[in-house]
Amino acid sequence: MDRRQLLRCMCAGGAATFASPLASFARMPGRGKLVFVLLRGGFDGLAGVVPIGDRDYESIRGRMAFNRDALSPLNSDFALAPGLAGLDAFWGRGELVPLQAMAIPYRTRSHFDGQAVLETGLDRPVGASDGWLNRLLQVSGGETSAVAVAAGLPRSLSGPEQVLTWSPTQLGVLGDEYVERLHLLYREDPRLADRFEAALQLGETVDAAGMGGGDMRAGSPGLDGQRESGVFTATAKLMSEPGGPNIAAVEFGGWDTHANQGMAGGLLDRRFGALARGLTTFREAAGAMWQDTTVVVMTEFGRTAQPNGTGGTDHGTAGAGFVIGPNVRGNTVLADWPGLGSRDLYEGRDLRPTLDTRAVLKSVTEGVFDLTAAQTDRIFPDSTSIRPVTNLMR
Amino acid sequence: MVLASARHPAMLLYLDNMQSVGPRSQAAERAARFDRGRERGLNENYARELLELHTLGVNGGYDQADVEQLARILTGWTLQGLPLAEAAAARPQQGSGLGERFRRQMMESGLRRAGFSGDAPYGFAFRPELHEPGGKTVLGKQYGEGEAAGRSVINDLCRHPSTAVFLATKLVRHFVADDPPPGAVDAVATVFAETDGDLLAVSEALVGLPSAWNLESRKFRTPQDWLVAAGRALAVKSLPPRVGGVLRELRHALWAPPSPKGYDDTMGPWADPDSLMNRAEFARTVADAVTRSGTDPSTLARVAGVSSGALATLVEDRSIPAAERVALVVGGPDFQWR
Repeated sequence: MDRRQLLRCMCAGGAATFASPLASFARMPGRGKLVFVLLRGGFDGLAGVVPIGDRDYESIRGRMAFNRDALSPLNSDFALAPGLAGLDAFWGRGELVPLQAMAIPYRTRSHFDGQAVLETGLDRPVGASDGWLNRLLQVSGGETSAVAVAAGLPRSLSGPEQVLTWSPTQLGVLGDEYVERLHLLYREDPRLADRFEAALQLGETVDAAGMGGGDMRAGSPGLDGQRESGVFTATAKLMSEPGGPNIAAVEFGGWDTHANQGMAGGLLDRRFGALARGLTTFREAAGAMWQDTTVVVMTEFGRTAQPNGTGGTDHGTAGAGFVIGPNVRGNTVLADWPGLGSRDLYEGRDLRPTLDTRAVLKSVTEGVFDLTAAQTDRIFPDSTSIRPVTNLMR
Repeated sequence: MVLASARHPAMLLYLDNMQSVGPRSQAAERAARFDRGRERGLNENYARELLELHTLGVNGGYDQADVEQLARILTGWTLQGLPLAEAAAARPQQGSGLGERFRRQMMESGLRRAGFSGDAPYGFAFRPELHEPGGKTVLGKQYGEGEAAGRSVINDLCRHPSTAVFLATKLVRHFVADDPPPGAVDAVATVFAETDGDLLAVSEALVGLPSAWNLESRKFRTPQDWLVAAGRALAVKSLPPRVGGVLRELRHALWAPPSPKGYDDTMGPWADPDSLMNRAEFARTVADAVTRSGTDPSTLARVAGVSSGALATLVEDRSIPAAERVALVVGGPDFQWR
């Protein structure tokens, strides 16, 4: 008996202890869908959204300054890195808002503290460990549900509201007897049965999309785009299920490019390419759901304006990000550009922050979920002085 | 124990007390005269967590003024072996910068220094130059100047009634149930208070709680617990090299809790659907390896206390490969609980 049949039998058999496991997590979703993509490691914003209009760009980036011909220009001030050329199509449709000179509200060059601040939505790396996405679930009063397409529960989704998690695994491929036997055992455990059941159902949903989880894990990490495309396809499938979650957290590592980040075709550029392919795949896989979807791409910090001695960049301050979707006011780069002159830089070395990540996230969540300012103030504690940016969402 | 942690280099570094400078201390006044550009002063990070996480608890009855006064008492509690100028020059909010320099120094000076212990060479030091002069008031009680005032206030915090309840709640949550039964908390808090915080007596009280033996409120194993339990049940002699990666994947990386509050001690963040699958997958990988070296499913089942039910039947079913039977024990639901 394969798992699909097994599931059908259980449902037909009226196993009353667990109603539809997805239903036990998911509630009544509204129309808006939000995908939060966290690039762990601090991606080099100046290499992604390239400030071609800044007169100091070439001098400060030195050998790591791009040749303009290799870039996809957005306007007279900014251009996309060669690897991000795949996002040009989003730009053409008015679905892309690159963000520049953006930073979390806490000045740190520590991955640990930076990710903590970004994921908790607080203004410092202490205090409550709940994530801002979990508080988003709390304030929307049972009208949203969430999935992390990641191994385990990321901090952004941690908290009292229960969420789904799914990641590619070697297990759960069709006819895996080990998983079927585990399933029988888990059915006897009243506190874990629905969680295991949910894991199987999520796996089913993704498998039904014709992608074995094993392929994704086997794919070389990050550089050919196979993993990114797989994760984004899975995300789209899970979210577009009837009753599926309307919030997803997705994450990719490997952005901490201290050495040999390279130019066009280099390490970082190929990572950009993988990300762009993943986002393009997501749009295709989302189908009709895309019309209601907004994707936010952020990282914990930007990197030093100048290259270091090993062909890379070190931990910096302000960086770049993206908001993508049909409901953004596209064709604009959201940036209050501080400049790259030596006196413009933060502490003489990093791009100076002029945009708070929370101002972006407040604007996006208000737009996607029709939240009030009071609600977004609860999602981001101690942020009443940070108003949402006004020219981002339609 | 609180005093030892207050003086420990790791704590002084982690929660920034080593760079907290009394605003009216000699060092601050000297600096104001010679180097106006630099700000230095109080860092209340450790003082706050000492109250919130190590003693009274967040609702334990202190306010912001108590935090600030406590921080003033603890100025001068820093590290020796670190140039004073560096400690004094460190600006608030820049803990990681100083921390990185400190770590680099430690690495540069090699194992000789990395293996520091006691007071040498990076041990605790009280630096009067950094200490805030004058009396302070914490929770309504007056304290004087100097290192002794810090010892005294820490002793008082440990004896505060809120501390007994706060620690009893944490202990009962850890050993008995995610939702600590109030009766059990009361019993442990009473012993804590009556014995002046004797941890042996408190441990005995915990073991003596009827609810500690209640199978209905078993605790879900955290990833670290689960891995250690699996290693013990399988009589593994050494940790597999991938163990760090597995723990990171299960979001329970060694020595890296997500905040000063530590790792979560309830099942919520650990028992998500994907983590159950990840454990099942890792169990299968481990089972394949250990079965090749002779682990017997029946022995494992006996060690793991599997005596009846569906799992016991599966373990004895010789039509199933031995490795899979081992994996079913370790990756199955029963083994996820302690």
